[in-house]
Amino acid sequence: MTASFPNTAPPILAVENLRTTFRTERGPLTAVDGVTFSLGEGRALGVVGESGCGKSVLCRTLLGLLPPTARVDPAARVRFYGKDLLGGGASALRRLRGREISMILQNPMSSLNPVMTVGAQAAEPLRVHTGMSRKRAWKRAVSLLAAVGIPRAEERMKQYPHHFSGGMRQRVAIAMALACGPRLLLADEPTTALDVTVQAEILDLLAVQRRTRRMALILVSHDLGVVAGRTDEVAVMYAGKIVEHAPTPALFANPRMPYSRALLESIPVLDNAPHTRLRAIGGSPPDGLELPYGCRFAPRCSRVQPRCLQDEPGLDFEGAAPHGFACWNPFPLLSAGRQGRNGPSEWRRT
Amino acid sequence: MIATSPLLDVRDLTVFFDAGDGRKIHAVSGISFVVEEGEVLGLVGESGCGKSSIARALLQLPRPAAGRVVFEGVDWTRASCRRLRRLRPRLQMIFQDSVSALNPRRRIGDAIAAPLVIMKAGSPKERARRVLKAMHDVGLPEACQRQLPSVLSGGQCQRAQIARSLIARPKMLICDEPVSSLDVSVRAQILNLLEDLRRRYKLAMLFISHDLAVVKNISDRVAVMYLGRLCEVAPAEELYRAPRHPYSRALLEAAAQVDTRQPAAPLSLVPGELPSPADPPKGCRFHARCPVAEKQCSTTDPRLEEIGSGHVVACHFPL
Ligand SMILES: Nc1ncnc2c1ncn2[C@@H]1O[C@H](COP(=O)(O)OP(=O)(O)O)[C@@H](O)[C@H]1O
Ligand SMILES: Nc1ncnc2c1ncn2[C@@H]1O[C@H](COP(=O)(O)OP(=O)(O)O)[C@@H](O)[C@H]1O
Ligand SMILES: [Mg+2]
Ligand SMILES: [Mg+2]
Repeated sequence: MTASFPNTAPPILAVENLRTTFRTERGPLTAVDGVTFSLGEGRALGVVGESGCGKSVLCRTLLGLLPPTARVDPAARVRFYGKDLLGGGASALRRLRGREISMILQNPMSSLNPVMTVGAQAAEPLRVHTGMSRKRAWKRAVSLLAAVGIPRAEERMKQYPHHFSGGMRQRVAIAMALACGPRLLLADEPTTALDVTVQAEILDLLAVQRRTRRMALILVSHDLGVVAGRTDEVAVMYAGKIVEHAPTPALFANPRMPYSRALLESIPVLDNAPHTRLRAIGGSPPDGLELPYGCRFAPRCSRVQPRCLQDEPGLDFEGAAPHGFACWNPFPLLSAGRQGRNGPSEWRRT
Repeated sequence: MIATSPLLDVRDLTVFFDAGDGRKIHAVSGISFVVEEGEVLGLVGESGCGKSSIARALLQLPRPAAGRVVFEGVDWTRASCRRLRRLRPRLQMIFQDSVSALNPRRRIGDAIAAPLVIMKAGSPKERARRVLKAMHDVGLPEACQRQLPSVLSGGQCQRAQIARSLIARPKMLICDEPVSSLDVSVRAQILNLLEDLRRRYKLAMLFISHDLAVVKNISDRVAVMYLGRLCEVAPAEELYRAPRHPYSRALLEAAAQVDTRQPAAPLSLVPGELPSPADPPKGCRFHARCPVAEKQCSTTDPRLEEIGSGHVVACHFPL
């Protein structure tokens, strides 16, 4: 058994035992609790889970964007192309951020300056990180904005963010994030605030840019549907931990950890007939201050056993299979034929 | 006569807002629809298309610029303010943001009892009994009664809002994005709760959401809206299986892209942005983004026409 996702491509990012704790009035809150994974060059990893499970804190820890109340366990390791991101001090991270690693957030306004023209902002990272001249950076920014699907880019460079719709702002944020040709893009709920048609367009844009640039992507979303068609592998988080990590098709076809499966089952799908009863998960996730003993999902789990209330299961990968889950009583593995033939709905009938 | 007329009959509803620069925002432009007793009508469309404006106009908050809203045989657009105060508990609204829909200083039990107090219904004892019954119906523990909204979870606040909306035994609920800000697992609980209550109390609903899968799951019929106008209204199964308006099709394609069980397919939508409701396009409001638009579409506004039983579409060239 191995403790992390066996990667075929050489890893560009290797995260080991990441643990981030906040000081709060009510005591220490461990938002990310022992997260381990690695990401191969050009791969897309989806990170899913309900709000509060630690997705954003994970991203911010990787980027070194935590508030002073946060503390990262010194035993944690984060390597980017072998370079230590956590130990190298803030300046090492700052040098990488925006250049080799960049990010986009749910609210594009948080990465845009409302009193600066879009053009000046899009050109800025180019000047700062690559030392381009003002004029060259401006020209390059025009072509970047055009490449992310902003019509009349030249004209729109002179406008301010408030002249842009939500979808167009997110395109600008993507253009800025891609400006210096990053090797890794972290997208934290990039489409959550957008309408469905705009969401589809932005996700397509990200997919195209990732392919043409051979860039690795961590796509964070509370919505399993967002990551379903657009990632190579998916990590499901619950209460600060990765509870299942598998190739995307396997996760959707044969979720092993009961939480992953319950999450999938609770989502209404377009195929449902009107008035279909949903399989809701009772209760709500723990709040990080009062964690249950044993498996954190046990109090809500339909397959709970005595052991689950005592021992916390670790994320285990069975043999060489790239499918890991943290569970003492997982759903059985379906045979490859059954998984393949019937696709994502097979497990529903078992 | 009353027995055969629909529970809610909306005719030519029109809502304007001031854009602030002298222009008028055409939020809702002459929309007509009916909701029968016990029926759930879903309303979908992208943000800014006027869904919430319809919901508020039904309740005369504010009064619409034009049109009629006949509920249980009474035209609310002609009712006096005093009369409306007494009528509103009959047609309750549930909002997306349940936490701010509840007064932060008011205990949950008092918030739930509010519609009864407004209607001056029942003795204090009778009200207390009905509050407990409503809390039980929505699955809120009795202990919540004396608590303030701030100590409840998002899902519990939404349950409290539903309890408040049910306490006056309304015939119909208007749900405006009731689960949009809830987590996936809690969202399923609330959707199941609404479904149970609908069945138990034969509630009619206008169910507004931008999430097409959520809407299909609860609706008998679905109305699709674009920029202040209705594009298409049809039985839910039929609309999702074979949409006839090009905008309905684009919305469904976009929804399929983020559906865990559908393969991603490209959108049939001309790239561009939603036009401004302060300056709505001439002709069909969707024509600039429509992949099958012809000349006529930019000049003549299509009317809603029946193209099947209970299926209407506003398009010169339906699919
Ligand atoms: N600055 C902070 N101070 C204290 N707690 C925080 C802070 N930021 C996040 N948290 C807590 O950490 C947990 C994980 O949050 P987050 O990563 O934002 O979740 P999500 O999965 O929704 O992105 C939550 O319990 C949240 O309340
Ligand atoms: N109080 C208001 N003042 C000015 N404009 C408004 C107001 N409420 C809504 N609008 C505008 O009316 C249009 C329809 O809004 P709304 O009904 O909220 O749409 P939806 O609920 O479909 O997102 C939008 O362009 C919105 O900006
Ligand atoms: Mg987050
Ligand atoms: Mg709205």
